[in-house]
Amino acid sequence: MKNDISFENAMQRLEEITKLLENPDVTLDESVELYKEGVELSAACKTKLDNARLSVTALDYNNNEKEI
Amino acid sequence: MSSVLTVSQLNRYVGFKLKQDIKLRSVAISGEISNLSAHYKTGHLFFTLKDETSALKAVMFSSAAANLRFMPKDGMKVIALGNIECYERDGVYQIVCASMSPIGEGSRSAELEALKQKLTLLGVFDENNKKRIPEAPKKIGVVTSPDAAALQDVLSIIERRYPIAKVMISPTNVQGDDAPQSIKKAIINADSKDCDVIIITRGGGSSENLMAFNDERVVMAVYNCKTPVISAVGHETDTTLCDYAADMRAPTPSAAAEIAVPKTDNLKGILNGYNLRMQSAMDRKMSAYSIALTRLKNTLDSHSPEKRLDALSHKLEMLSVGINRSISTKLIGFEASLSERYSKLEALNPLGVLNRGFAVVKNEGGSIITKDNVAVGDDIKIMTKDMELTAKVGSVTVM
Repeated sequence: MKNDISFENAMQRLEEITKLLENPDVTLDESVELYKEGVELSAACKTKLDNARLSVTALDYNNNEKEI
Repeated sequence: MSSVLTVSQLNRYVGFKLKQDIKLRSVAISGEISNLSAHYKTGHLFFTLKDETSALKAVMFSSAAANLRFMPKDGMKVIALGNIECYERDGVYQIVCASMSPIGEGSRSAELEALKQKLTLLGVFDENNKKRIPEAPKKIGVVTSPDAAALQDVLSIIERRYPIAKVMISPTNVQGDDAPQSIKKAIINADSKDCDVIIITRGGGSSENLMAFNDERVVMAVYNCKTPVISAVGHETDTTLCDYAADMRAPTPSAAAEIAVPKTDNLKGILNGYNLRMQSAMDRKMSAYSIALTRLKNTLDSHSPEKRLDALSHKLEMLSVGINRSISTKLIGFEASLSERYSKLEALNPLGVLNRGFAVVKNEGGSIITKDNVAVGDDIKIMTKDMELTAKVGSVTVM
């Protein structure tokens, strides 16, 4: 998965890809590309899920976000 | 006023003045019902609201009375919400009630009831104004006191269920006189930080601690929040106005966290679902293409030169078989007719007669003898089946 795509966007894209693949009008060439992208995204999502650690920040008195 | 007015003019003027005064609109009045009379025909309620020292005329028209969730009775303590207007005919001012609710003991609960009614009329608690809680939030704002056990509950639930989320704590005071202002500010701050959902929560404690969450400033901050809000302030029994104004209410901080985030197991399930669907969509597509391909290939094959040659050669074979068959049929016919003729000829063969023991007699000229071409003393030839004899005619007797 490209590093700039978030988990949520990846999940959204997966849903999109699944729907496109299920559409009979999408060509075979396109489908093969989509499928490849989908499999990669899904594997990346799974890795993210397996390795995720909660990130916690707090707002300070100047309303700035700080890691804690 | 120097000029003389009629009573009607004065009353109309007073009515106008009352209507103009914004402070006399949507006022909440607490008092005890007395002199209640219900018009059965029209459904309007007429009564007086009174406290220890004063009384106020009140009317509630049938359209508003239809929404009452209790039966008003004389002696009942209520909070009535409505506009103060002048009843010009009698020259009295009165409250025209839009809503009314009974109150229990204590002035605080009366104030709360009044605020609740006012905010209800403003649509603050309206179900239609509730925002949808997102299924998979990226960033979760938590408005709470930073040292509260509630925060630890929320964090540990999110950590366990949905660790890919980011949590941003917007700290606030929940006790003391400045608590409402502090909570309001914490809500507004959290709303400005691109959260997908905001959880408002507090630790346990007496219902005194709840009061800040019944403050109009807090309730309005929740109502005006652009981010969906889950409120877990009231803890099961004591629901606060903040809880009512939120888009979703949770009985405990943990429950709020559970509402806010999906279970990672669920996400894995969803992910698996996508995988299965992609796989089967791809399989379906491939088999559809493969069927189409086979069909095309068959069509193509059927038009190949090879197939055509085969067809032509087959046709040729059929033709040649036909020709052969018709020739041999003809030949058989000829043969049959030939043999028939041959039999007929054979029957007429003179040699056949010889075979049966007869003889042919010819004169010297070689002609078959008759009474006219033979005479005594002529040499004649006698031909039998297997001999040729020469003889002399001894006598001729014509018969």
